[in-house]
Amino acid sequence: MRKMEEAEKMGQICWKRMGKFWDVRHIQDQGVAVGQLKSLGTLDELEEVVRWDGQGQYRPLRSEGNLATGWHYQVNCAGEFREVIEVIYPGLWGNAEAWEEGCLKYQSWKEATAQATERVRKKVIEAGDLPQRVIEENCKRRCLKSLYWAGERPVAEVTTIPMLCTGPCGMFWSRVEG
Amino acid sequence: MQFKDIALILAGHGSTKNADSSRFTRETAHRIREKGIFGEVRSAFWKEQPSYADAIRGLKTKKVVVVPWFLANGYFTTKILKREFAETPGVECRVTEPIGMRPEILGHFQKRAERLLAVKNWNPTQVSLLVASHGTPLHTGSRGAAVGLAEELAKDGYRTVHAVFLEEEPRIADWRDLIREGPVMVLPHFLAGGLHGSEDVPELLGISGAEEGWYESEKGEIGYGEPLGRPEEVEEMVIELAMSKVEKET
Repeated sequence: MRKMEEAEKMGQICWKRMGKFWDVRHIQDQGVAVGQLKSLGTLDELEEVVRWDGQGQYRPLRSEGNLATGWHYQVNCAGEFREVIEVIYPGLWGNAEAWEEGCLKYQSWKEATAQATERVRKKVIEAGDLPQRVIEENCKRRCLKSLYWAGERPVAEVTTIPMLCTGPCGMFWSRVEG
Repeated sequence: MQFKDIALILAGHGSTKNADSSRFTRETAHRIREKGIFGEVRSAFWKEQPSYADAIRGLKTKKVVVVPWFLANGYFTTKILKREFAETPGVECRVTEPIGMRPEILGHFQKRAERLLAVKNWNPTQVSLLVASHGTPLHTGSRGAAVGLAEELAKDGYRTVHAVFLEEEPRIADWRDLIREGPVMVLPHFLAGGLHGSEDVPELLGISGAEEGWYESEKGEIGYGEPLGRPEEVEEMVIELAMSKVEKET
């Protein structure tokens, strides 16, 4: 099993370890001089960046492939590094660790619908192929995660942390509800 | 007092469309984090990320206290939050009462009413009062919280006080059927930043804005109060809910 620490990329971000600290930035900003990027110093500042795309539109889905460029975050310890990743891609490092260890839990479609409200269940039944349509039109077009709960499996790469979706999210159900 | 081995999660609803919906939840989490009382402080949402599951997975701490950023013990808090936070293997999770069940909420409503009355230099006997809430056929808790507040506010001497709802009878839009004449003050039983308090309720009332103040509508004069949940208003309530839950159960 490879070590998570060996990775350098996850979704649209990359990082470089430089002695005691890490420099985290957008993958498109690799090679850009630090002076040309906005330097973020707190998790609150980082959260404000990741909530909006490059055009200033609200970004409720953090794993959508529209993370804004033009910033970097210098992290001073391993604990803070993990917190930075949690702000950018919440929950996904933990999923990847569990997957590496062979104990990733996910929700089946049957389990997910059993927990949905009666109104949602009715819509799902009426529409027939609705889940598949939402997967094709919403999840696969917008989200960078592999649909683990729907049977997709990531390709193991040494340098990249996989982004794994373990069940239908709020965005998915919003689309189902129309 | 410090709870360094405990993580605090503020669990709100959030929105896929409205960026402001989660603003006060996140700001309150930041404010509490800066106080350094809890080991970790996160906000998490149903409709946006981080989700509840994301927040739990991202914690280093395995003891968690969850404060629901909701106004009533309704469908969300009794069904969804209980389920989402109860079934996390390896994590000890406690869910408190929602912030709306704190006794301070009545005082926040009274302050809004007093501010509106002061603008007109009126006293409660000259005005009718409506508590505008969500309500849902899925659970009676949402309605119960609003009705309870209306009953308490009635003790302040208003001409009449009613609770009105988005999804139950009596409806917000029918406010003039309930109160035939005279000025009316409406206190939104909604959390600030959300679409209901800032857009839906003003539209149903027929008023042109959502800022606290007095408006002329086709059906008469309406005073509209500020929705609840500004961080400086609820911060201490959240801390108190979390600390007392931990102290009581450990």
